[in-house]
Amino acid sequence: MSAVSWLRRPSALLVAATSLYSVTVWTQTRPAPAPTPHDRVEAAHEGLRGDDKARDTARLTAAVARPVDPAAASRPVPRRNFIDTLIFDRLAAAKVPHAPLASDDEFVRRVYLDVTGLPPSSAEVRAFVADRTADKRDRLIERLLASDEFAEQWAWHWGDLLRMSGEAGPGANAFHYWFKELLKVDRPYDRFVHDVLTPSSKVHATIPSLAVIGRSNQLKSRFVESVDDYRISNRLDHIDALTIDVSRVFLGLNTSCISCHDGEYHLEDVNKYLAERKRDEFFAMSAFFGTTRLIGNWNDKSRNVDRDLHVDDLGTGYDGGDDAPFLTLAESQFPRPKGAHEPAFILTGEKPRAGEAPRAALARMITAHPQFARATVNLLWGRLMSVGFVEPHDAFDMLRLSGKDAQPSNVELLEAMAADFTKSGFRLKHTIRTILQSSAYQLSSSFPGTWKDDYLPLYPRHYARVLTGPEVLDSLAVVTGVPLKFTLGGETMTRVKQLATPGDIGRAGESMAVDAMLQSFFQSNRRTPPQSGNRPSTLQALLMMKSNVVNDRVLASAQGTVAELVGSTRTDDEIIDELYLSTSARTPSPAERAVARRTLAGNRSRGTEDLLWALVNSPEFLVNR
Amino acid sequence: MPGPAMRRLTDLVPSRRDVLRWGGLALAGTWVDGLVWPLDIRASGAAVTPRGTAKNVIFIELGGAISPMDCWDFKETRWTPQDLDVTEVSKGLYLSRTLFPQLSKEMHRVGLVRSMQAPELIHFNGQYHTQAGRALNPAIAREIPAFGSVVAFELAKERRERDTFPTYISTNLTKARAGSIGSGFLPTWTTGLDLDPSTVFAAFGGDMTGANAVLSERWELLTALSKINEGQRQAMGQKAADYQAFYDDAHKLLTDARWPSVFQASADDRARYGDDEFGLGCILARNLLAQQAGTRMVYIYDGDRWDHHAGIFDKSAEWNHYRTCTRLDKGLVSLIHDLAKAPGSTAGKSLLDETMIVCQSEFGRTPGMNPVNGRDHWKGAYTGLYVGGGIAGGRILGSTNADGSAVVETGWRHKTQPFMDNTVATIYSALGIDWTKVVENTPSGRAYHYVDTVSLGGAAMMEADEIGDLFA
Repeated sequence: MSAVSWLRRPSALLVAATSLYSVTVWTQTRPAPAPTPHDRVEAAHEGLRGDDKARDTARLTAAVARPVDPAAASRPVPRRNFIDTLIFDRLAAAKVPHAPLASDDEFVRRVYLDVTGLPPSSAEVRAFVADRTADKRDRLIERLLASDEFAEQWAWHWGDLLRMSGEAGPGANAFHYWFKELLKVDRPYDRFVHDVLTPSSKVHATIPSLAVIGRSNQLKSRFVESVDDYRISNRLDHIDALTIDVSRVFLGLNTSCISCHDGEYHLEDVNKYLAERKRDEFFAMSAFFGTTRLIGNWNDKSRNVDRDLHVDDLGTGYDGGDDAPFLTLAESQFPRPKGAHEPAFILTGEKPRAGEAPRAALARMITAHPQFARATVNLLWGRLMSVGFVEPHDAFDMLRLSGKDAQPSNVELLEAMAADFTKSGFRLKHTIRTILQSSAYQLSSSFPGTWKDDYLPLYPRHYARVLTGPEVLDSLAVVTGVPLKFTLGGETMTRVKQLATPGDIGRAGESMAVDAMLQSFFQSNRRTPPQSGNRPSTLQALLMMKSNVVNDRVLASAQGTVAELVGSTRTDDEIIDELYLSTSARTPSPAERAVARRTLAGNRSRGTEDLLWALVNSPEFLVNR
Repeated sequence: MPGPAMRRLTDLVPSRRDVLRWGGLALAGTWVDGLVWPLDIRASGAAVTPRGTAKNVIFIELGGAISPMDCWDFKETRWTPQDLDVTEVSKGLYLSRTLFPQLSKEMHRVGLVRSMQAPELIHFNGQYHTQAGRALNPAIAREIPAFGSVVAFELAKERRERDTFPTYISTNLTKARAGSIGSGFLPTWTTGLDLDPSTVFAAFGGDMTGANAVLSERWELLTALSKINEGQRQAMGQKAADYQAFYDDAHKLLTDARWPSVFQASADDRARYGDDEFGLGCILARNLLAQQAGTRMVYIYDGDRWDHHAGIFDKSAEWNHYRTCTRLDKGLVSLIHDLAKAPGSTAGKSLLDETMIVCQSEFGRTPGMNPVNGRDHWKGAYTGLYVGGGIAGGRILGSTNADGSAVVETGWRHKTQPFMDNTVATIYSALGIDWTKVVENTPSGRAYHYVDTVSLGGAAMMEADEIGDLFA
């Protein structure tokens, strides 16, 4: 499906009908969200009545609480697909022991958080653990991959990667919904690259994919008499920034360094391939965007009223002399030499064919090159396994892809996954599924014996990771039963990841406090590249203990989980089970239960508040293990 | 202080015991994070002697950019309003008493650098540069720490057992265009704790008896549960285990009686400083430093109040120059007065003697007015203001031409103008930090220079030097 045929869909036509109100129209005509996996499990359970329901809950809870089978640890791990062959053969060759398969409760929480960004509900944990069928993990994976939350979770991640902020204008909002749809239907990712690189439009808000190149700070100026106006920002700077983003996300290459200077004498110790690249080669890569023109809809007060853009291919080309050399450090310190540059693909030197539009040529060359598949599977692997084959994801050294000093931690597996991704027709969901189904993904995070950091590249255990900012906030809202509240396109949103950009969090109500927590968990504002997160900090601990975002939510008066539990006929033990299951996906140990019982015994309401507070402040909650 | 030649690597890296004091656990150097520990830090070989004249620094960022030629580098033009009451407060120093009724009496304490230059003209890039002490380099932005985090890292070895406050605290940076830049490749315990002055006084400063009882009850529960669960947490790996140390530090801070006392502002305080986010930010800075409980660096971000593109002297505009300047005047001068009265850590010295206040924007504003009576962005010349902590009062470095558009004298020993990078070098020097240090083993492999020397195009280089002439 091309960008154009996508536009023919009825929902898209509604957007196309008007530019000014497109975002509102879009959000208001969205169909009601499909029931979430949570909803469906809860509904099945709710169908039961009275004693049956209580007995059912007790039976399922008992299943979760059943002692772990001690033999499980020594049972051989099944090899479920080619990933397992390449992981476990290597472990065997290196004589490194590995963890057993994760228990059901460990697995159910992990896969929920990774795929949907939310923890499983207590009912889901109970039902999953009690399920005795052999294929239950595969079925859960399928159910989660089909959920709306899956699309939210991964659309947010791509929003981070492609820096979808207010700078992308109204396009950022449309992009968010479009990318979610694309994930749901598993549109081939190579087509996505074509979608975002090639379109032209008189009204860019009608084409969501244009958000990537249609940034309001990339406008060609109308006014040059004022050095102050953001609209005269150097066009070439912004084209270069776009080239850097495209190379970073689609090819795993960090070309920022060579955007200012040749690699020689700078990058020998960092990246052998980039050390050999010339700045001219970067300019040639940028030149694919040289004829792209972005023109704002100016009114007579020189305001771009609707922040909309006209995007076409009638620009002047990429000429180093077409500079406004006073705006950025790159320009004042490293002025571009004057002279025109013709488009040439950085990895091959290939030029557009006769008559081929430069942006279409770039999309063709990127997606035809094996590095595109490598970079993409590395992104997915890093996201799900906590550590990529190449870290960070844009640090690929093209001269160290194999051989004795190979950079990827498992060359064979990276290549096999890239080949499999290509063979699947570049389906993101296919590769995500393949990883999730592997025993390598499903290993326990607890390691038997003495851990050595040298084992890291071998993946003999699952690596626990700190939740991302949106995961922490959305999980808090779900387990406390007190939703977040934001507004997007006139509609109320209850989770961070339902928003298009971090800027949509706004300033109203508790939004400032939410924003501070997101930033403490390393959510970037998307104006700079994503931050390296996955680290605990004092600031996080301080905010988790003290922020009203947490404290107001655990109060019985907040009419959330605590009020519901305390007001029910549940026994104290049942309340304790419920809280442990929803926050940590397990039942408490006898020692933990004794402490929890004492806490509830004095004052059931206050004790329940305290217990929920303590559980969300436990590392077990803040970490996906 | 030993000279550079005598320093060894072990002297430059805080010991593990020191590190444990704030936010503590030194993370094992793992390939997972690309974190490197211990950091391989060396002196550049340049023989410099940091001055060590200050114990603390307060940095005030006037976001949006204050107009130098209406304020600290005054130029009379056809646009100058009649009611500015500009007076020669000392030889060669003209200042508006309307805009700065109190500061005009304090200029004998103030040092000015009128020859500052900015490389950027865009707020985002300029404000990033201000917070990071270096221009935005997208190639390695994710590993670059805020300069406040470098201060926290360097001063970690001076933390005492009783210090519970984070070394680096900021106000309002969460709202800033660049956000609050994190700790980059430095350990997360160097991250600035960002406070929102409009809410923290209520959050931390009210009657905490009830809240503290709740916290203590909950902390007891959390501790009891985590003791039971310790084995499992260790088994989960380092990430989960590390959280305990961070929680312990956060709890120590929250239960320290000195912490709520920071969030107290009397009616008199609020009247003198101004009862808004800037005034309250200055009160916070005063209170934090007066407690001497571990905080050494306070970064006050004054919103985007100064971006006067239109109606700069239009009194009906919400944020006109009269309002922003008198607001700055109240907060800044009250801070100077109170710090001068407060005792420092050394007998006979005031807190102002031990605290360097620096007040600066990301760039300057155009010498001429635009058609809507505003001033736009200008990078050629702007002014930095310094008070206390070893600054020679009344000293004015550098000079500009008739309309303030260009620098005539740089005012220091170099031909190139000073940049924000040199402001940071000056802050490091005042705090006794060798600004020529280099971290070799960053995650990217690109060396991190505390203050970088970069090309300004052609043969001109940005000098990696302090603005030494500011010091007494």
